Amino acid sequence: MSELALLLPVGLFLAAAVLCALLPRGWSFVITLATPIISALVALQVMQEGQQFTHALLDYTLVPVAVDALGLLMMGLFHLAAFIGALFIAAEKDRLQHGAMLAYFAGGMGAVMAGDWISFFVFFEIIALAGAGLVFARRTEQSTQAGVRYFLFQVGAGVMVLAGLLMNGLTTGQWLIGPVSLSQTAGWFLLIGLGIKAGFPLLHIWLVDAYPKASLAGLSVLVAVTTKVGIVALMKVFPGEAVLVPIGTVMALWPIVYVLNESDLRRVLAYSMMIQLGLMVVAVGVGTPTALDGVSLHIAMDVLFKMTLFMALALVLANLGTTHADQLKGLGKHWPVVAACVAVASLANMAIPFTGGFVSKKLMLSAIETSTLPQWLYFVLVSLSVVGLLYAWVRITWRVFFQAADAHSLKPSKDALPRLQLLALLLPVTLLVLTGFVPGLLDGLRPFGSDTDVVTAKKIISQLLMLGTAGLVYWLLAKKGLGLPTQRLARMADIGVVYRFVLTTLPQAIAQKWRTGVEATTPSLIQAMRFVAQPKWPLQHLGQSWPIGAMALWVAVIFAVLLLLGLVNS
Amino acid sequence: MMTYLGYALTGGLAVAVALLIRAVGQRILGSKESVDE
Repeated sequence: MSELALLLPVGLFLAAAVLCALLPRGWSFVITLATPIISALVALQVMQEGQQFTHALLDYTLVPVAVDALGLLMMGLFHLAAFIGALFIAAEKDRLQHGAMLAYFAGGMGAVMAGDWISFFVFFEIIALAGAGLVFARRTEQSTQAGVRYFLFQVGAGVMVLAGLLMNGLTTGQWLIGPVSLSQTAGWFLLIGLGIKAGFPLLHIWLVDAYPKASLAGLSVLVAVTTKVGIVALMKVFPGEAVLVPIGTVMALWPIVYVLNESDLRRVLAYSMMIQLGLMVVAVGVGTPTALDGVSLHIAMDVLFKMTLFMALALVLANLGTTHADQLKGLGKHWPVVAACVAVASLANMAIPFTGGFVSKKLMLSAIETSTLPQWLYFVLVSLSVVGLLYAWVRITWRVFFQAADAHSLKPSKDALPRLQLLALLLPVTLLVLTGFVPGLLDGLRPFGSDTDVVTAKKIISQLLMLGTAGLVYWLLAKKGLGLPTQRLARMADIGVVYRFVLTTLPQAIAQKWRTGVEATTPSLIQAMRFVAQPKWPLQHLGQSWPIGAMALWVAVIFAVLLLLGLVNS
Repeated sequence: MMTYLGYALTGGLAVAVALLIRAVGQRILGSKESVDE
């Protein structure tokens, strides 16, 4: 089999995205659903660990595909996520959503399989473009603005990565993706670029801004690729880098105040992504095989339970027109299957034993516990599951789906939910339960070859004790009126306030001040400028806008005159 | 036994601390305007 065949899965997704744009709307569903199945069959045939596709370009040797165990795991995950997403948006006739979703996964697969920096950068940008398309496809003013901000941040990440890879390549001659030291400036550029993608604190605002405002397809699949590609790249470039530990810790703790206060549950979920991602970043900073295996598996589990929760909220939004917590109660009575799926996903999210989330999270935490990091940090990170209990179980699962509805609660229509959307919810949930009860299934997927066993009686009892006590304490506090608020609270300020101040308010204030100051000190100059800018005579031929051709002609004439003058002088 | 007790205490303490962070954070960061879609 030719090496070129290794590019087939990515090529298939990209070709399918183009087809979605060209063919009639009715075809989109068939293409979107068939592509991950066909591509997965092709990938199983052609891809084996250790294979590479190399291509000479000018003085460089590109490696667009370098198959390794981590890449294969991510390929499998992205195919699965693409299939789930396709099921979920089956009824959508919007070609932009279908096409952007396929291109988004193509970018993701290309980025995790890329062996050299230049190929990685190309796929990195495809993710940015297609991801923005998934946000734009909502077609509201707010989503358009959020899509632009998302795109600007992703382009910013791309520019930082480009600067880093060029500096690294030109100084070391190394164009293949591999560990880069932070003692070089290039390392810092790469860290910031990949950090934007992974949702580092202070650089995370695009995540909580764009994801909640995305289209139906965006809500279901945006959690699967962008940030995960950032984490995978961090694993390849900065494994065991100490600075990732404080960054990840802040990243995991930052959203606590938001997930417990935000009224819009889509924003709650977007913020909650940061908690899981922060934990992953800390584990990448630890860098042992167990830690990196934990991160790899937790990426997969996080995609499964977060996709389920986001898809459930997308259903709520589509049927009730809102995802504000104070208006949603007792939906489980109308939608029992959705409620059951949300319950399982929430349990996996807080790493309850016998779910896949427990296995992957405990692998990371086990590596952190046995590392040289202080024990108090381990306990802080362990207790993040309790935060999960509060936002995922109490706020989303219990209140929205199981608590009895009251007079203010919205009621869904009596129409049955589309079966394919229910299937899209059931598929990841089944896998979460299956991998929880048969953790051996995940052992064969560990890309870094660790053999740490985390499904032990001690760890199961410890986790159940911690979450059980937390639940009991919360119940007692809630009875005394000290629980989580049920009314709608005002929107919380985040670092976006600082961005807005620095990028818009401050420049406007400075410009205003400058104008006022200049007008006061040099009135004659200002008058002269105004005179030139706004001539008082009627605009004749010279004042009209000219065609570009005429402009080019006049430029050529001027250059010809200059040339003649030059010749005469010489 | 001590380990189990440690985890149980961590769970109880984490709830209390999280709720405290929520309340303080809401007071500091909660804005007057509410942006809804």
